[in-house]
Amino acid sequence: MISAAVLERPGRWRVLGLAAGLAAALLPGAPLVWEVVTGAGSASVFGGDFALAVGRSLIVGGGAAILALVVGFPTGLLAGLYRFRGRRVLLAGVALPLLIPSFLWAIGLSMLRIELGLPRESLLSGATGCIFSFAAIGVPLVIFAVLLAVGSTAASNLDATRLAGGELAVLRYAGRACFPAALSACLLGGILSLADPGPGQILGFSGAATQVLVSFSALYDFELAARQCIVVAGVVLAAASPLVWFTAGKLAAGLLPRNATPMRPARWPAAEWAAPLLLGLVFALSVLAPVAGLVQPVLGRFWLDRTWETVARTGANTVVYALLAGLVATGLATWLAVCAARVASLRIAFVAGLIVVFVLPPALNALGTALAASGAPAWLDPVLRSRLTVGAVLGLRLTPLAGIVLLRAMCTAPASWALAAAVHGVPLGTYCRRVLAPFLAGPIAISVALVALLATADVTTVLLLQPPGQSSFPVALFTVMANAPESMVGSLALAYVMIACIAIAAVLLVNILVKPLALARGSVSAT
Amino acid sequence: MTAPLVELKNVTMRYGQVEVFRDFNLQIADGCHFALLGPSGCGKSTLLRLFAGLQPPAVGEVWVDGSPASVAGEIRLAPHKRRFTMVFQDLALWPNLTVLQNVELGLAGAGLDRRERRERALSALRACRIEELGSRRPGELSGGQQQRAALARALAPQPRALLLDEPFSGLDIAIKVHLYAEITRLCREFGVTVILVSHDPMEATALCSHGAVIEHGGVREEGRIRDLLRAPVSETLRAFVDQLPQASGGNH
Amino acid sequence: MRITIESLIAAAALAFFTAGCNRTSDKPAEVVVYSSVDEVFARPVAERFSEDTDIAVRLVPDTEETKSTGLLNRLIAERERPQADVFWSGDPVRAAILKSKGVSEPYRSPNAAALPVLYSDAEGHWTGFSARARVLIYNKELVAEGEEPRSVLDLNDPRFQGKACIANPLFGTTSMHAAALFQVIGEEKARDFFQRFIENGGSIVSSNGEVRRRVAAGDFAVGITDTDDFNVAFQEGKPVAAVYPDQDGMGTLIVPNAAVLVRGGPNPDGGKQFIDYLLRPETEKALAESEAAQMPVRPGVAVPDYVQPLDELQPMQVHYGELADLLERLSAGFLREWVEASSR
Repeated sequence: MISAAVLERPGRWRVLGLAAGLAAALLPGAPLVWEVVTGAGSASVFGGDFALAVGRSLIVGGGAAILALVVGFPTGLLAGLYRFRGRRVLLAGVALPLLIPSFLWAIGLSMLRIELGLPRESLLSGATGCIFSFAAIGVPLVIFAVLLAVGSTAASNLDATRLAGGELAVLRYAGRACFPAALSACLLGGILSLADPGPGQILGFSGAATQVLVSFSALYDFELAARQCIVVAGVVLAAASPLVWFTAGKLAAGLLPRNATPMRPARWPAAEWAAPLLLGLVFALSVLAPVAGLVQPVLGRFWLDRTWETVARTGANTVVYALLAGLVATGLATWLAVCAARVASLRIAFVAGLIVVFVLPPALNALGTALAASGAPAWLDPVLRSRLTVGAVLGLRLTPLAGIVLLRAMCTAPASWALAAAVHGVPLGTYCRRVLAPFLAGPIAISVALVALLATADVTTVLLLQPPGQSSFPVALFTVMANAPESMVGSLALAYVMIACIAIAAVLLVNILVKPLALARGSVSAT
Repeated sequence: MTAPLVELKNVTMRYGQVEVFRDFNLQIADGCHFALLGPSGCGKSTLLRLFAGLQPPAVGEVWVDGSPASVAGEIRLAPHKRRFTMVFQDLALWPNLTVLQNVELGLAGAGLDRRERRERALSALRACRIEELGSRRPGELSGGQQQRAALARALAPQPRALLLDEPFSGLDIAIKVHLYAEITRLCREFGVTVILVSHDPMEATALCSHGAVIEHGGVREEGRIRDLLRAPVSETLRAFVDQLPQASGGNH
Repeated sequence: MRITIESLIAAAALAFFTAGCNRTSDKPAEVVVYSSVDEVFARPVAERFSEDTDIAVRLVPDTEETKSTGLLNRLIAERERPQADVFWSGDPVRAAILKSKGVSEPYRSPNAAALPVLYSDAEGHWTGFSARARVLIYNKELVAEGEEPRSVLDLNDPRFQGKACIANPLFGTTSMHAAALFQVIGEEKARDFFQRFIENGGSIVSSNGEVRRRVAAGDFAVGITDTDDFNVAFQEGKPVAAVYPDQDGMGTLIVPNAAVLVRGGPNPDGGKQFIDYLLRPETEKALAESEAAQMPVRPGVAVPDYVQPLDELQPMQVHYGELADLLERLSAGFLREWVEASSR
């Protein structure tokens, strides 16, 4: 019998498990990386402007991360700490950009600039336009990371702070406690921008992702593209290492076993207008403005038949890909979190590994998998060339998001639970099934939902790996948008936004359903 | 001569670079309710974990019933085979399970079938006078009720020793005193040896006959608690004894 | 109701089961078509093929909006054991690239006999049919009458200073157009054209669709795009007009579709049937009548009024088979440097 205490003890299995898990997350891109190792490519990675492009990408990624932090952090704090009218609806609204492919936001932004009569070289184009476009994704990431972090703050600590210094002191205290989570979220948001060429293409910005796209799609040089990806990953890791060090340490340190009742949102008159105002602004800028640009042509004609046909043809696949991605990412992230949560050095390795996984563009993973499937025997097709493959590859790439959620959750599980199980002879499996898994069910559900939402917005992976004819809704939208009438594109975009709203409503429902468990968990014992 | 229930032989413990004990030796006899006293951070809880087999010593050996149970870096006798149970400082009740399920799952290592487990769990709840709370989750109980639930879970497997890791912190004095009496009664009823870790000598006097004071990485003094209090050597007991006359002197 | 771990596991098992059930396996009457032609044009043709032949088509459409890595990469990656039977390319250059990468298989369709050899590969790796043209699109509200551009080279005229745009010449039909310019007017003049384009304040946008959108919205006065892109804006009543450039000079670049049989595809017979279907005069007619407004390359196919008959145009004299190699060299060299320099 394996003792449940193993979960709380150091051991070589943790290092091996973490390494194996991260290797699994990197597996889809491995065939292309292997080409780099074995290839005799002579073209220099730093040929042309690649070094400059990486630099520009870092600036845009950093800018998007900082903007996401500056906007998302106070918004998340207020939304997490205080009650106000329309809280749930506004929070659901600002999650919308997570579901929408980034290029759609960029097109919306571009249309908006023209509508506003702004010159081409304005803040809404080029590098600054890209920063806005990527911040639209980064801001909700930060808001939700802060919400989760605030939610696990001890009520007694907040009350003590409130008594000592009023609400401003509460904001300062909660801000310090939640800053590492916000920082890690904005870091992931910034990194996301490095692997996505879409907005740059539309808004006239050439970064590292554009260079990788050129290597793939103009030069058809997979090896060069893979080498560029590796270099970008290395540079990002080096640039982000101080933050990795800071967040990996603080993220867990702020969360280590704490047996206190978690806080509940309180009332504060200032927050009752400030929080909705901030959330409303975020919603208006990141959702309403681009959507207005996109759906404006629909006023002329709504293509109901075409929209319905597209939804009917692609809806099921979209859901299957998204759900699978959520499950794969969450499953792997849970394993990684179990391996890393209790050891500081492994937490750092964990976050560093997640950054590498996140920085690699979807095309590298998708084409790597396509290459592997092409060389594999046909009987492996159900694994390598099915909808399962699409979901798995999407999920593996989004493991970092699930990883942060699950690492937090694992760190909050008191060590004494597993130790008590060990003393009482509860086998590891039974402990995991009856105690740990139900405890993690809430974070697992949140992680599945979050990854599923983001996976829905992916176009590249589905385009390159879908079993023929098994397209997703965003890909269908993507493949008609070049030449279809704008009103048709607008109809599809509007339908997609509406479906996204329904999906978010479903996530809200999940949140409500898991609440009883969270409450039971929260008041586990007295201090 | 019977072997001690548990014995530490030349144990050294470290957390990273910090050394908690060096060449630490201690014996606790079977049936002797024993208190480990000392200031916060002196390593008292670590001692309980060593006894329970939740942690191996860095150097030295832990013997249980005259056999080596843990040796440097290795746990030879699994925690549940030592027949010790523990009430943790945070009680470690599994939050998603009801009180009855907590006690039942705590019997996982007792080799009972489902029906026997249920009966044993119910009888432990009765013994701890919380049979009507069996269907509640820990989060729905008061502090004192949670203590009783943790106690029921710890006593249900009928252990040889009950390890108590400062389980009374955060409770008011009336509940504490009541619980001391209950634990004393239950341990007599179940024939269990109590090993208590506390920084509060009052708890020690209420529950244990013998004790040791841990200070500066070693045993500062050891013996019958009554004797220790009569002529305290350690800072912990001296501070406690010094304040007793003031407390009884009617300062209030 | 609460979320339990059992329900999560059940959901996972269900999702894996349904996803693992690959509906594409071992169905005989099925042909897999990858297409770089926009779905809005390709799907109706594929559906009619299915109706006429009882062979199901699994269509994987791509787009010329270059915002992600496209299907050509997928075909190259799947080379060892392809899933596609046919690649329906929107231009002959991609087809030629597949030939050079060993992805295609020669196939001479009986329906290709009446098609001009100019638009097909000499070895039969790809066969050209219905064509688009590269046109100058301009905004009628921004360009006065008599000021319209007549030649591609007019983009560098001072009257369009800061008002012209083209799509990124590393991708899509714009890359083909760039290579064609190098082939037809020579390297020196072509380099000079691109250099002067930037000096004249010209801009690079992401795609031909974006050229159409931005010109229609008045963000630019003039640009180069494909006829199908122009036609979308025209049908929507945008204030745009198109000019077939260089009718009194080097001619307009014609961009035929190209049908490619994929080497080692799962259903080569089905693939050949689909190619035969594409190359019929009826398909050329249907594509002419669609919003794509494509020009039949086969002589004698009736076209609607709004479609320019190919034989009334002066086409650019291009050797299509050689464009792929030239483009490969340019993409790794001049064009890449040029794009990078202009986006700084």
